[in-house]
Amino acid sequence: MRYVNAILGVMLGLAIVWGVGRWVGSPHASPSPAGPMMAEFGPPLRTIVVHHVAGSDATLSVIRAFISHLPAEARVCVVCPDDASFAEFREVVALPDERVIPAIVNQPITPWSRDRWVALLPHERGSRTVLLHPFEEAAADAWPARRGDQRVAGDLANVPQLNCVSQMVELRFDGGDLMADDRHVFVSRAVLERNIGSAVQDRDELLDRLRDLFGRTPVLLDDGPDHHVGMYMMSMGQGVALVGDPAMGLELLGRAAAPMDLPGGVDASAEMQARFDAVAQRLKALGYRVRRVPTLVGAGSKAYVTYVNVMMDVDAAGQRIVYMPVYRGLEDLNQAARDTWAAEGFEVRPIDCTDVYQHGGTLHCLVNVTGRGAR
Amino acid sequence: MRGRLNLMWVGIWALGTIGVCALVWPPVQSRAQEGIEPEVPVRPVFAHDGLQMEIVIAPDTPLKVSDKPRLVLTASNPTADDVTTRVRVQLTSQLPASQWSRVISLPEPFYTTDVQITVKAGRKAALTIDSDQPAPAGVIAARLSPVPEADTTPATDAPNTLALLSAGVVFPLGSTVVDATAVTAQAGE
Repeated sequence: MRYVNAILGVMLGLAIVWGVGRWVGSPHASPSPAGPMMAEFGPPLRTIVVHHVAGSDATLSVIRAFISHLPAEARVCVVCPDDASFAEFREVVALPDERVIPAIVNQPITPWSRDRWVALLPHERGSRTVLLHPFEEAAADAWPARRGDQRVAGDLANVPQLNCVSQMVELRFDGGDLMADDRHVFVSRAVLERNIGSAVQDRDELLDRLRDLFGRTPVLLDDGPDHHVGMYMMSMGQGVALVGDPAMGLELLGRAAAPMDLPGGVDASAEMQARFDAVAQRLKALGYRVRRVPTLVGAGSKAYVTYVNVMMDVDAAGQRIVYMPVYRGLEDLNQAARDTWAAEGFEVRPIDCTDVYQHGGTLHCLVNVTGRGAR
Repeated sequence: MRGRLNLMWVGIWALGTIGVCALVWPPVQSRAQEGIEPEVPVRPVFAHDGLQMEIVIAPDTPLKVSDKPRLVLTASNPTADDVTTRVRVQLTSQLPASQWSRVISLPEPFYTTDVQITVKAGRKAALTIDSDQPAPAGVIAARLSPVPEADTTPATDAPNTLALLSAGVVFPLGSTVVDATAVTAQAGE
């Protein structure tokens, strides 16, 4: 009989361990099950996430212009460091209460929501979106807003309307270092740079890890420009990709002066051109039909005049829509880019990013997405 | 007691099982979580010529703006042979360009040197490196990389942006700025 006591005791102990593990969220559990990384295009935008910090007028003007175009069914989660920032957002951006999801996080944050996490699709119907975030933000020890940014994914997991969980991974990346379409996840050189020798031993191990995490074939753009992927390329869907072209930008700029606020002037080096061309070649080798659009790169900076840093949506009739950055004083470049998108069947809705691009990002960098699907 | 279910013994076995589970489970590697604080990051290692190398700021010499950093390069030799090798050490700084910046600047080198280190088989060795340049404000990192064989020119601090990112391993060393005010002031805003 004492064997029965032992067996019952062990079973009871295991049951308690299992139950407690589930109840506390189980630090020993395997990562949340998730589908692949959300693609840049697909079903209509349903829930977007933006940040606003009081006083950041340049970013707010871009966000306001974008949101004004969104259909009434799309909801907007607004992450703010404090009540004053949220009040300023509500004052400037006209949205009915039912479309606004506030997330006041009570810590400094940057205005750039794209880089904080990447969304993994729910692994099955009815399950939650996973917000995958790095275990540390670059420069967090010197940049208090980045320290706060580190916690945003966890904060969003506590917003019930978003139906998300957050999951931290032992990799260093910005959300903008990754971009997915229906086949691939494109990865910037910074991910290689920041993880070799620490999180992973070599390139092959990194690729395996990325494949496991993101559920799509990773394409490491290690010959590309030193910036986030969405600054120099965009997969448009239907096997077509768009890549920036500094030479085309310079040609269209002609004799006009470079934008006054492009730090350091325009980078016209052969080395920078080669980096954009390398991305185009890589995409062609993967079977994409590649189109080029003008771009201007700030010399020695990360300020890009870019037309690939877009948000894509689709309306109820199936018409594809692109929200594309445009810049005052660069009408020839704007028009060339507009023509390129339109030629691929997109309805182009321009968003003025003149006052924001010198900070290193434009529209796509300011908007993240937790949900696409039927409205 | 014999021949009957004994709740006391069932409880003892259950407690023992819980205790064993707590002991044998491995350390946390990755976790499904909501709002859990980040873990201590994995330290980088630069593997070169059979040596495993790390570089840190020397103890008792905290990183301060305008001070010349003192570094300690540690190399361990797990092989059965003595190893002598050269390695390039480059210190860089980065800053957010402005309060509203999306990205940190490209790494700006401020001190570069090539050092030689010898480590006996199965042993460790440490080398102290004193920068002759003061640390600027910003996030400071060290890059360890092989000294190119064909490189006959001495190491320089010339900004090499893209080339800088192409080889070696980066070791975050810390920061010489501690708050947003300093960042903004340095960015000239």
